[in-house]
Amino acid sequence: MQKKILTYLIDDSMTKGTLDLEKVLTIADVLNRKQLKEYIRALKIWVQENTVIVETVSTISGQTKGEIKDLFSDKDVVFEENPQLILGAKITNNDIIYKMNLHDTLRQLQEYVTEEA
Amino acid sequence: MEIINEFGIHPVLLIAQIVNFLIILYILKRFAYKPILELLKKREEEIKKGLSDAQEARELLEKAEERERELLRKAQSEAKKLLDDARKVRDEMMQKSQDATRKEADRLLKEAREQISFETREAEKRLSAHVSDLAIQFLERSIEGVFDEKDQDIVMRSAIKRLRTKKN
Repeated sequence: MQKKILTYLIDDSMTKGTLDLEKVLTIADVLNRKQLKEYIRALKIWVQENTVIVETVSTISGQTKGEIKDLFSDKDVVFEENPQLILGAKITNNDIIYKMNLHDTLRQLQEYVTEEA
Repeated sequence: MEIINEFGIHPVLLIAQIVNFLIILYILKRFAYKPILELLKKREEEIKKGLSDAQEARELLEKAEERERELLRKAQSEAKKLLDDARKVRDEMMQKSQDATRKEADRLLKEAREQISFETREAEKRLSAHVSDLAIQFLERSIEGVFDEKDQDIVMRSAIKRLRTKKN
């Protein structure tokens, strides 16, 4: 399938900038197996590019959530809990990862110490 | 004459004997003496030639012996030279072989040292990583639950502030 057609299909799968499940299913019905695979792959890429994952140790306040959403106003922000982080957050914006937590800081410190040794 | 007669010499007989002698002498000279002389001369020449040949043969023999000795000396000299060359080549080859062996041994020793050094460094790195990993795990376990929601909120605000700075 051509990239241009895939872009049209992705655009047609949206309602007000977010993915519409009904539209997606309608489009999926008319595609053959190969086209469906390409469509799903394109959807995954779109979701990855347009979703920001915010991992925190525990649930954060609505105000903080709002501030984070404001920072990524053009994207869909998903909040997840990850106790392994100990303190702070890990924010994944497509291929950019902000590691602002104690777990990753300690790991970075460990890597630095190991390399220096 | 009387004296001649007293001695019993008869002139006629004497003359006849002289004549007989001369005849015998002529006959001998004519038929016996000359061929014998020629035979003797020939024999003398043959002996001379034989002696000459023998001398020549002796000289040739001496020359041959001298040449043989010369050849022997030359052969001995060449054999000695060949032996010297062979010894020299053998010594050079041994020296080269020893040098090559020494170089190879040095190279192997150097490689072994480098390998040991590398492996030691790697082991130290692994040990260091393992120790630091254990330390961090220990630390993480120790501080589990130490931070409350307030701490979390403070850190989040700091993180948001840093993100704003980065985005601007």
